[in-house]
Amino acid sequence: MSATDEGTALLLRVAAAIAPGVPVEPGHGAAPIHRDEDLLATMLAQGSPARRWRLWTNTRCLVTTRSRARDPRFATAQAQAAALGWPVHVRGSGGSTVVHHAGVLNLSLLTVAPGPPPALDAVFAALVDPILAGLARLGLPCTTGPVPGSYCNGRFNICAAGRKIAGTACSVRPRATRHATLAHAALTVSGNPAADCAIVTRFDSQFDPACTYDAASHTSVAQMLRDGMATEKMVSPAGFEPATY
Amino acid sequence: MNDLVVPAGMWDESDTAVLSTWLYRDGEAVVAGAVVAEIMVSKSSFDLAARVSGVLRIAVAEESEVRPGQVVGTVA
Repeated sequence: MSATDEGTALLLRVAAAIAPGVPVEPGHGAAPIHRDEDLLATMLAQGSPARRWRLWTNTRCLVTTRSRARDPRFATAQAQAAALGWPVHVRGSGGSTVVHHAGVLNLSLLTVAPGPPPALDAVFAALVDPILAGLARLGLPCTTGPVPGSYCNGRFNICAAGRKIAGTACSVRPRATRHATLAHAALTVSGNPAADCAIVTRFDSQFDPACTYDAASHTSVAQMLRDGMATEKMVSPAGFEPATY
Repeated sequence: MNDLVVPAGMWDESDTAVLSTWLYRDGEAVVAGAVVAEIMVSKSSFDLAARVSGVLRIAVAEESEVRPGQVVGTVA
C-alpha cells in the first residue's frame, strides 16, 4: 500500500469514527469551500429544523480570509503561492490562512433551528465534542484550547499533547424566527505539518513580516500514531472498508 | 429608525470582535431581513441583519473593533 493509499485509508477510518455513515466528498479548489455556504442557504430557505454533517477533502491549496483578500498585497501573494503549487482561495469565516490537501479531513456541521442562535461556545461544542469522542474511540486522546505559535490559532483548536491537530471556525446566521449555524473543523490526518506551516508562514509573512508560526505547534493523526500516542491499537487500514469514498 | 446593534451574550466579552464587512454602502436602500454586515469574533462570522426596510447609515468603519450592545449603524 502506498503512502497516499495509507493516508486515504487512515482518513476514512477517522471519518467513520467521528461521523459513522457520512460519506467523505472529494473536492477540488474553491467549490468544496463554498458548498457549505450553499447548503446552509438551502437549509435556511427550506425553513424546517435540520442538522447534518458534511465531510470532505480538497486538493492542495491555501485558504485565507476575506480580510486578507481585500489587502492590496493579496494579488502578489496569491500569484507567488500559486507559482509554488499552492493556489489560494478565500473563505467566509475568520482566523487566518490554513492549508487544504488530501490529508486534511474537513468536517462541517450545518444546523437550522428555531429561535435565536446559541452562544458561540455552544456552537463550537456541538462540532468539537463528537470529534473528540471519535478520536477517543480510536485511542487518540485530544483536548481543546489555544496553541501558542500555531497558525490560525483559536480557543477551540483540537489539540494533542499541546500541539494543534485541527482548527475550527463557525458562521452564525440569525433570522427573524430561526437561525442557522455552520461550524467547521479542518483535521490534519496525514501529510507534513511542518511543510504546511512553512507555506502558511511564507504566505502570511507577506502581510505581516513579523508573523512567526512554529512548526512544532502542529501535528497530525499519523504523527500521533508514529509517536505512539494512541492509547489503544488502531484498527488496521486493511481491515477498514472504504466504501464511502 | 432602527438601530443596528452588536448582539450581547453571544461570545466571551474578553474576545475581540471586529466589524469585518459592510455588505451595503452608506445611503443604500436595504429591505427588512437583509444581512447588512458581518462581525468576526473568535474565528467566527456573525450576520447582522436589518429589522426594517429603509436607507442604511453606517456609523462604524470596516475592520473596527466593536463591543456587545454597540450601535454600528441605522436603517431609516
